[in-house]
Parts: sequence; C-alpha cells; structure tokens
Amino acid sequence: MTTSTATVTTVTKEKSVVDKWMQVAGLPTALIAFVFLLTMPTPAGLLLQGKAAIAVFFSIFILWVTQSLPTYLTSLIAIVLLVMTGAWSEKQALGVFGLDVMWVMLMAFFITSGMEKSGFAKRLALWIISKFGHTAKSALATLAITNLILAFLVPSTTARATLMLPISLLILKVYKAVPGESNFGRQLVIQQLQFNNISTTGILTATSPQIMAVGLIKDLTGANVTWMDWFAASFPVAVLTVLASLFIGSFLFKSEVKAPPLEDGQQPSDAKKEFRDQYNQLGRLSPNEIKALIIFALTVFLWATDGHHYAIFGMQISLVLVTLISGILFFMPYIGIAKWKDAKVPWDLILFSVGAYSVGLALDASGGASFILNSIFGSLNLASLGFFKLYVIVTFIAMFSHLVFTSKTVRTIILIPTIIGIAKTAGVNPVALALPASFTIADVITLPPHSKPNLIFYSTGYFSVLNQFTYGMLVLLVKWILLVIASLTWFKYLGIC
Amino acid sequence: MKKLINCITYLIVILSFTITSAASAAAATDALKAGQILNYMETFTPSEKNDATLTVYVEGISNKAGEIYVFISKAGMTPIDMKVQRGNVTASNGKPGKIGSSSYLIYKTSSPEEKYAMELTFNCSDFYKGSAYKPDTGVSGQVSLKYKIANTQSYNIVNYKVRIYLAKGREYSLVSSPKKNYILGKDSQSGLRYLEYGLAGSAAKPAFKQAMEVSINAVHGTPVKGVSAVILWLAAIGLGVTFFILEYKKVFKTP
Repeated sequence: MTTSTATVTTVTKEKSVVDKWMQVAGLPTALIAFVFLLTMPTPAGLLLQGKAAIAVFFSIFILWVTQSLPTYLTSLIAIVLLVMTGAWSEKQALGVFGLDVMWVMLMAFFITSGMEKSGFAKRLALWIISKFGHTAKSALATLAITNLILAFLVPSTTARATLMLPISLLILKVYKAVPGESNFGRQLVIQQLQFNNISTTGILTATSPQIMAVGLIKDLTGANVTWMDWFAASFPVAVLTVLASLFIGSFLFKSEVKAPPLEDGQQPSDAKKEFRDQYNQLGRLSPNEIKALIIFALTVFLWATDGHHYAIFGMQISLVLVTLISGILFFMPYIGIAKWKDAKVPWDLILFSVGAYSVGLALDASGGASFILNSIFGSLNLASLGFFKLYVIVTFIAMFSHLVFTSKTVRTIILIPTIIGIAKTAGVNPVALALPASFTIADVITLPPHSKPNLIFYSTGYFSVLNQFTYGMLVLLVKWILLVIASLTWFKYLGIC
Repeated sequence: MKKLINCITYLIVILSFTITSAASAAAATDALKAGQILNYMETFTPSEKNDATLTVYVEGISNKAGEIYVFISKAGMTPIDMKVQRGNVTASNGKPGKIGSSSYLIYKTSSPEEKYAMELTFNCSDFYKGSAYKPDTGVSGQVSLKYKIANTQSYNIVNYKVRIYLAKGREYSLVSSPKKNYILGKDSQSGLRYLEYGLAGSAAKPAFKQAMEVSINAVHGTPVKGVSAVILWLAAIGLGVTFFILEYKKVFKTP
C-alpha cells in the first residue's frame, strides 16, 4: 500500500509463534466453520439467506483475525461466497463499490494527498507537535482533545475522520512510524477511530441513530430525552472512556518512541525546540499552502454547516459530495495543487473495505444479525431478573451487539424496542434501561466494517483487524464497567436509574 | 374494625378490577359495527402436488342483511368444509357474489347482525407452483411464492393474520415483502416451516383497513444437505489440510 510514510525505511518484524500458528490454522478453521454453519439445520426463525450470511460472516471474521490470507483477498472471497450461497444477490454485493462510504474513503485519500503535496499538512502537523505534541503521549492526548472538540463542530463521524486523517498521517510521518510495524502508529490510528466514535456517544445530535433512539423511547414510553439530558449523562462517560482508551493503548501497544526521532542525533529533550525551529524554518505560507488552507477550510465549513445548506445555498450538499468537491479542487489545474501521480490511494485496503462492508450489510439485510441478537435476548429469560442484573446484562448485550450489525440504524430499530419490551415485562423503568443502551449505539470500534471512520483509518495500513479488535474490546469492557458504575451513582443523581 | 375496613376495601378493589376486565373483554366484540370482522385468519398448508389447503377462521358480526363476506383471495378456491363455532350460519358452501369488481363467497346468519365464528376449509390448486427463482449467480432449485390479499370489504377488519406453511424439507430463503414484522417458525409436530404475518388492532382502531393490501413475496428452497453437504465437507477438509501442510512448511520450516 502507499501512504505518506512509505518513504521511511521498513524494519521487518519477526512474527510471534501465536501469529504463525494463526496464519497456519486460520484458513482450515474458517473452512470448517463455514461448512458447519452452512450445513447445520436451520434454526426456526432464520431464513436460508440469513444462515448463509452468518456462515460467511464467521468464516471471514476468522480469516481477518488470523490473517491467514491477505485481507483484500479475504474480502474478494467474501463477495463470491455471499453470492454463491444465496446470502446476497450479485447486484447488491457488487453494488457496495458504489456506496457513499467507498467514495468518501477514496476522496479522503485524494484530500490527504493534496494536503501533503501542498506542504500545509506538514506545517499543521509541525505546529501541533511543537505546541502540544513534542512527546508521543502529549501528541495522542492532543488528538483526543481535538476529537472531542470536533464532535461539537462537525456533526458527522465520517467528515471528522476525513479531517483527522491527513493530520494523523503527517504526525506519524514526523514520528517516522512505519505502517504495520510501529506500535505508536497502531496506537495513534486506532485511537482516532475510537475517539471519533466514542466522542459521538456523548452528543445526541452527533449521529442520527441516537436521535432515532430518543424518538423510539418517546414513542414507546412517553419519556422525553433532551439534548442536555443526553449530554449530562453520556458525555462524562465518553470522556472517561477516551481517557481509558489512552491508558489501554499505551499498555497494549508499548510505543517505540517517546518523542519524534531527530535527524542529527539530538536528545529527545531537544525535540520541542527542534520542531519549533523546523516549524519556524517553514517561513510564511506558500501559495500552494494558502490554496490548500482555503480548500480545507471550505470543506470543513461545508461539513460543519450540513444542517443549514438549504438556508445558505438553497440546496443540500451531501457529505459525500462535499468530499468529492474537495477532491476535485485539490486536483483541479490552476486551482488545486496535486496531479494524478500524487494520489496515494491504498487500493488493496479499499478492496478489503468493499468486501467487509458487503458481509456486514448482508448480515443485516438477511435478518442474520437480528436473529443472533433476538436469540441472545430470548435465551436469557431477562424479565425474571431484578433491575441491577437486568441493567448489567442489557447494557452488555447493547454494547457488544454491534459485532454482528453493520448498520447503527438497524441495530437501534431492533435493540431499543426490544429493551423497552423487556423492561415493561420485568416491571422496571424502561428509560433506565433503554437510555443507557442508547449511549452504546455509536460504540462501534471493534471491526473495520462497523463504521465509516473505522474503514477510513483501517485503510492507512497501520493496524491489523486483530489489533483493532483486541484494543476495541478492552476499551468497550471499560466503558461497560463505567456504565454500570454510573447506574449506581451519576445516573441515579440525574434521575435516569 | 380497622381489619374489617381493610378487608372491605380490598374486596371492592378486586371486584372493580374483575368487572372492568370483563367489561373491556365484552366491549372488544360489542364495539364492532354491523358487518365488521374481528378476526380473519388464513392458514395455507401443503396438500397434494402444488395445491394448498386453506383454512380461514372468521369471527365477527354479520351485516344488517345477515351476510358474511369471505374473500376469494386466490383463484381456484374450492370449499371443502365448514365448522361453525359460534352463531347460526347457513349456506355451508358459500354463495359466490360480487360487490363492485370484488368477488366474495357469501354466507348467511339466521338473524341480522348476529355474532358468529366459523372455520372454513378450501382447496387452493397450484398455490405453491410459483415460478422458478433464478438469480444471476447462486443457489438453484428456489421457487418464488407470491400471495396478495386486498381488503375490498366495505368495512375495516380488526385483526388479520396469514400463515403459509411450506412442504416438508423446504425452507424460506428470502422474504422481500413484507419488509418487517413477519415471523418465521417451525411447527413442532409436523416439522413444517412457516411464515406468518399479522395486523393487530382494536375495535376502535382496526388494523386491516379498507383498500389496504397485504402482500407476501418470498422465495423458498432447500438447505444444503445430503450429497451436497458431504461434497462440501470433503472439499473443505481437503483444502484445509492441504493449506495447513503447505503453510506449516512455509511458516515454520523455511529458514
């Protein structure tokens, strides 16, 4: 793949014994899982299409995690299997290449290439590093705060990911982090997608499925949850989760760098001064940087004013169109900066994204995902439990149900009414269960196809599916514990529980 | 004295609950207008070849002329049996009749506006024949199944339900209509798979409104089993073992 760090010398890392065994046993295990699931008697309540989608999903999941085959190849196999088993039609599976998420990903790399070529991204990265990020830890903390602030300004997870991508890559370039090799790179990039999604959970309007959840709660219980109610309850949990993520990341992927490595052998203590000097040496903004700044500012403006386009322009410009316009401007003769040869597009990872997204969407569309969720709820006899036990189990299921759902909207539609139904049967306050469960809707940080930001950051090649999965599961476990603690303290104080 | 007052209070509460429950249960049918249907349930079960046995359960109040209209929801419906469970219903085969362009089988109660409940059995020829479902690529042997019923009655139906069983060994493969709220199940005795879709309302707010239609559009097929399953298992084991040996040599034995 090609990224901004491609010029850095690659250091080959020896695979661990576990990694080697996973590589050897991955494909045989996936094959057995696939045939077992496909040939088992279909449970009542599941379509043949759903059974096939579940078989493809689990076998492909094994291949992603074990990396027995290259991920792009796994995704191509997934598309073929989906169609041949009847899990999804050929038209639908191949049509994923035309979905907005693929265009946004493509354009994110066009924008990144343009920003890099102009030199403005380097200036921005140097400024952030010299001011706040002269150590690896402070760089990560700065990006965490930036994500939390951006969640208020740009009401789209995808737009925020596209915005943070060039900055993250340039910071990694300064730190000489090699994709797939650098632990600092792993930490930083996975954290971008985690911070993006987790900060979304703190703000009701940051993603539409959360608004839908509040609507469902109102329709089914009559309770009205305001923006401020949501913010007061969920934002502190989101901030604590971000802090936990920073801690877990530093523990899980011990960074090989404490400060940006310097060219002339200076000590890391000189780093702050060195990068300030480097930043000062850039001098005044060049014409290309000014162009990049204007295009970038225009892009951010269009994303941030998403809800007011009709009032401003008399028409709506969708998020994907904004990224297309931005990409066009960066590559437009006279206006832009870059040419085709400058476009660094990681096609292997885009192919991976197409396959991964197809599997996720097929699982949703075939009813496979809802079948798994309903089976879990049905097998637990939840209505017989007391409130606390019920809360613990329901928030756990709500949190981790995203593993089988690609669409947050579909998950919300299935999850919230089910939880309200269980609460009513158990005779507990439905809002006390449904609202905290709604706080987990955007916690989609464990696998690449679960959200657009995940796909965008996965495309950098800095981390594997297993890296994201392990890190994401740990962070979500912490968030779940935080939600349980909140139910006994903060949520009680607010009158939710 | 205090105990006695408590006992009387409890008794009054229990009594009022009992009366309210009984009254609301009676109100469900009493609130029906003349000619209205409370429950209309259709069940299609495979019989010979591609035919289906359709069982229709109808419960409601006949109209002012004492008539009950039963939908001819599928061409070639032949009455087989009728079991009256409530009321005095005559004309065991139903008299074909029309209202506008809509055809019905008309049954009669002995008196106008009479409460009734009956179960009718029909033979529906070629109900399961459908058409072969052939996607561009994918599984063969799948059949499209389409069923549509439109409420052309002059009144709304409170509750409507349709259940379509498939022949033994066949399973629903995909359902394109309805998009949601359908149930897939398996009869514990016969082992037959079914798809059920229902509209539930109240006498004040009937669910199956006039001019509304219910459309079932599904595909059914057979799961991978028998020889196909054995071939698949052999291929998976063969491929898996080959890959394991080759990859093991590459990963662990290559210096």
